[in-house]
Amino acid sequence: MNRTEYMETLLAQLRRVTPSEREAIRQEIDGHIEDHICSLLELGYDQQLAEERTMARMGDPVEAGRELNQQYPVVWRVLMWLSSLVLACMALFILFGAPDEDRSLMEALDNRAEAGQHIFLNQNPISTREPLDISFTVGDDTVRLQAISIGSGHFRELQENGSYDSIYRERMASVYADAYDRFPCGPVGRIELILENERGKQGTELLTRSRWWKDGSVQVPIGPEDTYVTLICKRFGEEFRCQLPLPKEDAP
Amino acid sequence: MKRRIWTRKRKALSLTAVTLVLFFLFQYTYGICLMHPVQARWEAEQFYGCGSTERICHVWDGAVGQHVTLSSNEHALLLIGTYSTLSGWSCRDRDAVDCSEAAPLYGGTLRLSDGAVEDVVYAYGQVNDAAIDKIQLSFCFAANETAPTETHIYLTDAEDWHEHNGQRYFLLRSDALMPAYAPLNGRPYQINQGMVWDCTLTALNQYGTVLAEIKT
Repeated sequence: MNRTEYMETLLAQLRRVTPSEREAIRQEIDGHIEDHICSLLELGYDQQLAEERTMARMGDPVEAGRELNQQYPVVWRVLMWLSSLVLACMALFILFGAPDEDRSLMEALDNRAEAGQHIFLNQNPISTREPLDISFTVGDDTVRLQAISIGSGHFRELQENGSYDSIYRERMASVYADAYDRFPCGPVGRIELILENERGKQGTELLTRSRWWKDGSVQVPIGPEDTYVTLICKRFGEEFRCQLPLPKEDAP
Repeated sequence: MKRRIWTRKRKALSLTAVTLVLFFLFQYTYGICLMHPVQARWEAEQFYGCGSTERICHVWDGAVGQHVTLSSNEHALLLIGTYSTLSGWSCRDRDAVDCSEAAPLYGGTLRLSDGAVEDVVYAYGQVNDAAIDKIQLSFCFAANETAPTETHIYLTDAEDWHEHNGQRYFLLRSDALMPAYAPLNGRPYQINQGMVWDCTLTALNQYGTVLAEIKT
């Protein structure tokens, strides 16, 4: 059996290997054969004899091939296929599965990084507005108070008959806030803000938007003599409370 | 320098490890493909921001095809219905109650739906007053706008409650199966088909005296 026949017989036993693994095995065995032949040539053997001796020393190619085949169990290939399949499914979902969610996620990351870029105060008109730079944490979430304003708008009030009515108010304080999770892609929990005026009247607002970033403005009617409003955030045993001075209005 | 040989096993294990890390990140980011009901509970905890909770009790409700799990921590009570879909475990119906103050009774109600045909109302809560011996759930229900209003009343006794870390909890299932709630377009505040209202939890002592009441 010459070198080529030996190699072909051995490689024919490898049924569980990939073409790249087959090539690697070919190179490895070929290297061994080459080394052995070179050693014999250095000892004075001629080429043909050195090759014959080497082939005899390498053993039965069928047996060697079978043993090599056992070194490549199929379970690892299956695991690689499954992993690749999961990776491909995730990539497809991110690329095509939920474009709206992807957009929301990018928006959330953007808004998280840039405070005060998209302030929406549900008032019309706004007579005065001041930026705020107050942050606090509730559980895993960070809430940022970004602006306070005075303006007019509709306020949802509880009526005597137990129903809620939206009533137009000339003078209301409004606080804009947003919230995000401690981790950049983490979901934000339910956050309800309460804004209380000096007489104890309260307005509430549940922050909403997307899984990763929520915002909203909470409002409460105020009187002409009021100087501050109190913002309260309560959630499962945690409470944040702060007094916010009302912005000064320009004289008409 | 000796070159490291990447065997098939090594390649497979490395790829699997990377895939698992990315998969958990994917689950955490999108909240889908949850492989275990516990992950659906974590999702609900994240949704309410109530922190990690411990399981109190768990029942399988075949009528709506959901696992109903009551869990709690120091400040919150959480009731969720989880079910398995092709894209993993999901939790559509859920409710949480803040129980961080010292009230004799905390509780809530949750309407579990199979998403198509039938709904079931569950009541759950934490009983802090040792004198409370019974909890009564009552609610009104009308199958549609013209159907007569039905009042349903259910009772649970202290011996059926669950004890966990020295606290007493109850989970009560209404036997009434009702048509799935279907709000009518443009009329969300009127009595719609299958709407439940006036849900009340009443705590009673052994003589039937009302000790606490919660409107949910």
